[in-house]
Amino acid sequence: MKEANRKKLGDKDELIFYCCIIALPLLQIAIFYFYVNFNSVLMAFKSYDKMSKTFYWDFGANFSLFWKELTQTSIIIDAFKNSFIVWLFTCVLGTFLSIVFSYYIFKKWVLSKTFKFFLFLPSVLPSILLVIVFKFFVNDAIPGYILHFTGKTVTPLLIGKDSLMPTILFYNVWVCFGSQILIYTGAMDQIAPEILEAGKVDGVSCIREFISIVVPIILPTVATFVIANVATLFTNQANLYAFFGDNVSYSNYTIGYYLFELVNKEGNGKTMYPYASALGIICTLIAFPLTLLARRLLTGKEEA
Amino acid sequence: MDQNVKIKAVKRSSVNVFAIAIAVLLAIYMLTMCISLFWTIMTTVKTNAEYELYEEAGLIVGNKLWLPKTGISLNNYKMAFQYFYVEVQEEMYTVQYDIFQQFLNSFLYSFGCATSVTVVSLVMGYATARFRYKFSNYIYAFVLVTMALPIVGSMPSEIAVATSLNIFDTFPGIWIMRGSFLNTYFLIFFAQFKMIPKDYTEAAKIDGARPFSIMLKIIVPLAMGTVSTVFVLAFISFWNDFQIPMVYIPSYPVAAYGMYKFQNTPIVEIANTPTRLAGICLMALPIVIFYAIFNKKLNVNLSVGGVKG
Repeated sequence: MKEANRKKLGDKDELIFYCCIIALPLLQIAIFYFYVNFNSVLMAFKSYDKMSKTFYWDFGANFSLFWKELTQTSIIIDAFKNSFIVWLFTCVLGTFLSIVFSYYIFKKWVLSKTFKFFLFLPSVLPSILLVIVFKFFVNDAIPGYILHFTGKTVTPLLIGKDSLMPTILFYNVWVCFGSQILIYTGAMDQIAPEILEAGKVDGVSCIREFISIVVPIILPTVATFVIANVATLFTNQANLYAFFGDNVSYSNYTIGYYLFELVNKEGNGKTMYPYASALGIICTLIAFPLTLLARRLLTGKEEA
Repeated sequence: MDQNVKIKAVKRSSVNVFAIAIAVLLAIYMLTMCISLFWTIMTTVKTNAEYELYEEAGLIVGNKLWLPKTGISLNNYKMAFQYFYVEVQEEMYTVQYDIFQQFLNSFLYSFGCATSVTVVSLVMGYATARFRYKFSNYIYAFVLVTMALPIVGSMPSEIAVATSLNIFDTFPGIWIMRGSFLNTYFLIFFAQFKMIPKDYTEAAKIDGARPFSIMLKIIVPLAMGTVSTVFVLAFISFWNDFQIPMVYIPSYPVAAYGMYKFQNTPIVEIANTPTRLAGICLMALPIVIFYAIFNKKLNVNLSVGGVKG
């Protein structure tokens, strides 16, 4: 009886403790996730009055502006297209290379520690520093070296119309490995050594070990990252702001950059907040099924 | 016997080809990184007169590509240090933030945000991983859903809410706003706390320990490696971020924002490539030192989403 009472008291104690520790984080989520997003939905149906500095109900105005931009200009189409291309490079190519590089580090092959250091370096250095270094290097140094060695004059890569976007894509992949390497090598280190030993005894080659043993085992980790990455499809700015500030030509916009510009561009003030919210809702509605699809493809039907 | 040797040789060669192929890719990556950083450092110690190309007697003169020929000059660093300030327009006047104030703002922003996000993610990771209430499952599922459900364009609303709560453009405000558990750190802590056997908790309970002591004195110390790794990762990412502080704490320019402004500065004395690059190198020093001190913390194994088997 005494034992049962003590257990009951302990359970009550635990429940009180549990409620206490989760209360504040949940309150934060209630305000800065639920309320903020709810308010964002409401804002999409409002407009801003500059004179009275207030928001007022204006059903449909922002969505019709979106329709106008979609049908009468190329900003939205280009921004969607660029967002998708950036995502394809950073998520698909970046993830693939990260897994391959992680395997190299996991196997502790030659210079693996040095390579790990360099792969992680972009995560440590401020992105703005890397952007500036990269910008001056591709605009000043690379054309200079090409001229010196080949005698050919090349337009600076971030100025040439055709070379700008490929250079931005290269940069975004170039700096995307840091945390992924950390997580994937962590996941690979958790693979039971017996499994790898068994493979070795069976004469499995490294490529086979990588494709048939390592990748399938770490797939849940990869899936978590890729699914979370799909969500960044329309928030990724591709570092455009760091590269060019407000001076990006419309044809190079991504949705993430466009949304940031709507909110942040000098002179816009709060006028474009409602339109940014409306555009955000539309993007959310597009990205949600894509995320579900990615989840279904990566984790299988039963878990989707 | 001969066949065995042959098979082994074939396997070894396939091992080598695969390893070599990745090594070549990694070496190219490392080279691009080294060359661009070396070129940057090399440029910072050149005078602008040496760096800029100009025509002299029909020849292009100047040295953008090679080691300094007129000696090493630290003048660019001196100039960058002198002019590295950000002006913030207040209602009636303009406030100038020098390099030290920007570092202080960066520290307050990064330390506060990293602390709040680490503590909140740790606490929620602990609660959901160690307590088998149904609500814990809901929280875990909710985090996964929010990470997969991309809510785009909520920044205007967040600014409006922060303004109405009087926490916009304040440090405590940004610490609260960033102190969320809807992130990868939560999943890292969840995985970590799930791995620690329940026996520890049971043994402590038998010894009469209360839930708070079990968490603080037994379980969290076992996960200290992960805690410090998460903190270091969060600190670095906040320190390097310039867009969030630019929008949410515009009156407190951080060092990364200073770098952004510095590269676009109209001040004639420093509006040249060597000085601009010297300025950003100078501003990167603290985080490089921080990384040098704490890089071992990043060697801890992190796991998210688990592995099969």
